[in-house]
Amino acid sequence: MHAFDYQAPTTLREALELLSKPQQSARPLAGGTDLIDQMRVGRLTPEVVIDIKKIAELNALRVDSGGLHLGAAVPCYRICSERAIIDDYSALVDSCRIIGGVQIQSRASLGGNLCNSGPAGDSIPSLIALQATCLIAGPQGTREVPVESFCTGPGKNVLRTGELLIELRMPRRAPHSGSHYRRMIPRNEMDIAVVGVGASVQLDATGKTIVAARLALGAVAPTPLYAESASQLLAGQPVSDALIAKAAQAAREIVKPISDMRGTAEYRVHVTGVLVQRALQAAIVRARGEACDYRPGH
Amino acid sequence: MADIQYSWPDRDSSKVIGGRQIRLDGMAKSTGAAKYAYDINLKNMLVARALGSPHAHCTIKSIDSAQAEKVPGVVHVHVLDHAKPGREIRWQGELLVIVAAETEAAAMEGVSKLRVEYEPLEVFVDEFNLEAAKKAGRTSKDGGKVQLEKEPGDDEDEATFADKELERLFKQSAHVVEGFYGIDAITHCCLEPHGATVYWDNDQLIAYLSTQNVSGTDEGFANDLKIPADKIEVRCQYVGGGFGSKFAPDYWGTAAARIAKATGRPVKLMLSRDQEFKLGGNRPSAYLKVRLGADKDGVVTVWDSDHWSSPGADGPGVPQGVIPYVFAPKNYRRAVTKVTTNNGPARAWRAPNHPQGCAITQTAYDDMAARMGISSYDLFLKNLGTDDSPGVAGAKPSVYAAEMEIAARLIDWKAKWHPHGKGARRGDIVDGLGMSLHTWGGGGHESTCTVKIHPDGGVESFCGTQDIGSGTRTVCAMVLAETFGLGVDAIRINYGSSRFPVSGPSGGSTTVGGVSESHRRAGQEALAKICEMVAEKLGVPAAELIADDGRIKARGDAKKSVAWKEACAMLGMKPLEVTATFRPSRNKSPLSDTKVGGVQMAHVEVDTRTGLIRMRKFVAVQDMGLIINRRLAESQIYGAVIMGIAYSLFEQRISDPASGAFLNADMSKYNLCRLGDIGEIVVEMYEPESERSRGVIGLGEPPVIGPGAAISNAVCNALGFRVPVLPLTPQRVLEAIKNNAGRA
Amino acid sequence: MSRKRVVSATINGDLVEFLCEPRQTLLEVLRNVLELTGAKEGCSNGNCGACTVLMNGRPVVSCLVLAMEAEGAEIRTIEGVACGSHLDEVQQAFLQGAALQCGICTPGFIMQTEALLAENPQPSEDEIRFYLAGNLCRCTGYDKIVRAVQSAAAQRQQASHSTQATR
Repeated sequence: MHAFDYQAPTTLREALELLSKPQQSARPLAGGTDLIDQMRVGRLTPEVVIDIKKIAELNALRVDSGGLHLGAAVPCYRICSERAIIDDYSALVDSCRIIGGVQIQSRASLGGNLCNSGPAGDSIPSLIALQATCLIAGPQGTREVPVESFCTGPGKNVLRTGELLIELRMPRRAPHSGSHYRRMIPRNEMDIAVVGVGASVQLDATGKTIVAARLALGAVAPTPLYAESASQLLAGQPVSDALIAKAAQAAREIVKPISDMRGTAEYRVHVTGVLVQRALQAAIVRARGEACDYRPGH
Repeated sequence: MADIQYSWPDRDSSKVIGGRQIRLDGMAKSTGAAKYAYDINLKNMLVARALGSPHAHCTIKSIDSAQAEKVPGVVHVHVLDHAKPGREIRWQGELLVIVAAETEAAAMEGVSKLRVEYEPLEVFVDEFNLEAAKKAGRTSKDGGKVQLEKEPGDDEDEATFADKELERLFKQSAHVVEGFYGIDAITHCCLEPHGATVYWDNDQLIAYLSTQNVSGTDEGFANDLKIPADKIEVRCQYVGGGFGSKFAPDYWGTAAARIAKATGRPVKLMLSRDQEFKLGGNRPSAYLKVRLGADKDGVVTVWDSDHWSSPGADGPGVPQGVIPYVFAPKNYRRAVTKVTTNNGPARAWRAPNHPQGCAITQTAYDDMAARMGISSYDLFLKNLGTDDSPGVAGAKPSVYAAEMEIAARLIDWKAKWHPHGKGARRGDIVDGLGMSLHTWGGGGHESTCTVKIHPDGGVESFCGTQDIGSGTRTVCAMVLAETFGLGVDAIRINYGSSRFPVSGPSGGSTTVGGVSESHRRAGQEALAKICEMVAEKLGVPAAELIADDGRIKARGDAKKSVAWKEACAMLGMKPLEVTATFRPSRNKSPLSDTKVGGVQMAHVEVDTRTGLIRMRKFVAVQDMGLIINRRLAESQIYGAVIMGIAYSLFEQRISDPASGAFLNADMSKYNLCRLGDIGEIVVEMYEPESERSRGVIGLGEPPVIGPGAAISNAVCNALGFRVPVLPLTPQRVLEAIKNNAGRA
Repeated sequence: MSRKRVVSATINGDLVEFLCEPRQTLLEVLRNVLELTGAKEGCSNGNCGACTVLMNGRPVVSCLVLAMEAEGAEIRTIEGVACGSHLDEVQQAFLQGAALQCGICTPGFIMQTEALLAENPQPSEDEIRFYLAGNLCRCTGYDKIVRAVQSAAAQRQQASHSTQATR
């Protein structure tokens, strides 16, 4: 690994000062599970690594009337053990339980997963489905960006020099809502998604009609995608296999996957359709308050 | 003294042999105390890291190490001979320059500062594509064999006769199948990479080497370093995986010794994970086109195949001898083509060539069953023949038949089997059963052991063997404990140094046979000497004395006995030392034998919409002659089965056809099985008296051979058509589903 | 070379101070500076779990932790599990159940099992397979590892019952 300096500020102000020092490349370190590996192989060579885990705002996790506030450095395992998230933001827990193995989840954060901006990042489709907003602090103050606009290309995002992702905010869940994330990988665990699908639905009180839905797709384009037309065609429609198949078709139409060793473009398009159907079905089951027999990898 | 009759105690009188002794190295391994080659840290030691070639094929134009040498902490830069300017490099990852530094971080930084100029050359790695290989001039004939029941006439050309005769036989066949089958190359992927920690004690080299070959690697160092072998000691107590890839010091091991010499300091050099994938060994791929014909009962009578195989840049490919595998049809023609690529050279991989042979031919037999609409179990059974007229070239047909019956019961074949592609569907899921047969030699290798018995009753042995995890230490202690009527804890086993009496490398399942032979022989000879002394004292003929329960006793007269310690005290002041050697020969030893057979069955489910395969259950029934330690023998089988599941479903080396780069040389992309991927595994030892009485036979290789064919056959049974090439990745499964649309 | 700094951490119950560079991982420091070679390096990128240690009670892959991050932390490694030659229930179960062969993955599996049982004293078989999925083994066969974890859980359960009974 190249030589670098390490700083562990305890306040946001200090961190922002360090990040915006001129003539010095800096990189924030949360869980480090992507960053340390990328430094090891020489893909990233920051001069200073700023450990942001000691900053209170970045470790906050609370659910209130406004919804879910998730500090950017909160590790996955904390998210998985929070009752309110398990119940209302299930897709997020689905994601956090399959980012790496348990050891990785001890450290990896959703802020890190998002800032790594990999097309296959497992938390991003869930964040999109759950309508998350990114709170970003920088030298010019704070700004908010909808999560579907955060990534701009593989490994690239809207963060400018000196800016830091502070928090992810998700609106309060409507009654009769359910969400789910699932991915296709060859093994049961610990693979990078070949395709990932996040789905969120809100049903009416009878549980038979979809009021609103959000679908998001991972690993099928340079950035995770919000499947807008597929989401909108579901709204106001009675739940049926035909409707779900229609949404799957609409999702297939917007993906632009690459062919690589994990799968050809053709395979990814096909699996997008299959997973959209399965993810929607599971989200609907959850919205109805029924148990979903999903087990990661099965 | 009368000649000693070497023998094992029978099943009922064995106290230790055949038991479930807990492994003796378990304490060290479960507390982190066990020191592997890469755990050895010596005072003042340098850590070395190497630069590997980024190109799969190139010549080296120049190497500039000036910047690397300036990195703080870097002490020495060593350019390897094969990397000197003008030399050709034929595979990616080949080490070029080694940097030794005060810390690993400094060594890695040094490596990153090396500047090498390359002249790229044309690359070929597409071994799957035979036509492309031919066009690139990368193919060569690699043997073949024709055997026909009918002989050609005196005036007939042999090749023309074979063409005609095969045609005639196919016409005569009641059923004919044509097929294509394949299995991609995989790597060894040892969790502890190759490498060594070395130091010089004046003119003596001490090498802590991660090796399967303690007694044979000192010569390797000596030849390369041009020093006498008696100046070298190779040490190895623990090895973190070898699987056939760790028989030599390798050029990086001797380079470490050179750097240690040049700097006067100990040096540790281990391959990085990336280098381990690229250089640490791989198993050749194999792809086969075949036509086979069977009579109305399903007995295959004619086989005509052409296969190609690539060992990478160097080494042997899969030979014709394993085609078809285990089954031996009366008429066959088998041709082989070797494809040479710019991938690292192959190394022996657990049961060399057998897994590939099994996977690309027993699938064809299964397709014959599918064609006939009968169960593969019935077809395999019909093709076994009888012990008097075997249809197989492996273990006895009766052994396979008995094992098949056991395996079928354990997997519930009768209830669960359905004709190929005709099972019940559960949503998108279909399931299926498949099976395979295997065989392996596993005769013991040459081994010498010195047993030392101290006057205070202490027993120790010295043998230049190694324990690669299979349990050599425990096996040796059990053999001596049984021999002397003592507890296993009373025996001290010394191994893992090339200073000890020579024993063979741990390859080909030869170790347990070899060391149990040498330890039993030396033990029986030492015991005879002790008994001679005791005989006088008790007034009982030495031949009537036995060692049991910590005493030397008269057979059938419990009152006449002395305690072991008392007996040993008769040695006086000097310990007794006995050395015995086992040399494999044509004459059958009473203690060991060769050739085992095993049967494996798989039950899988397939998601027909994603192509994902899940293991439900895997049954392995295994013959291994006399079992010394049941617990450890089971572990070998479980371990072989997971390796088999991995290469059946997930594992493959993926190369970029354009650059020749090994694209998945990384644990996040090279898919081994994890805990959730293996389903239920059932292991059953087949040890009837008929097989036990043959003596000890090695077990490491056989159970890794069959999973490929068993799993592929199970998937074929589920879907109703073949997914031709292993590993059976979801994408390949979906392609097969698409290609067979209308059949599914 | 960036500045070396002194880091103090509690390792296996002892307060330890060590000197390291920011670029050194916790694994590198454990193995090369502190002589704690029980944690193994398998893949160097968090995929094999052979370097698993507990950091403030959580299992982490020490190849993906900077040594500097260990400042003030409580670290437990395989060397801190047994008490002298007295193995704990997990080690005992791995040994009795033959859940190890070459042994290179064993320290990681044992540490991960320690974390599992601390979090979930009676895991189901599915939960065991899921929790240990970050640990790779090339030769043991996994099956016996699952059995060993079940047996360790049962042993611990029994031990805690009998302690309660004698109270």
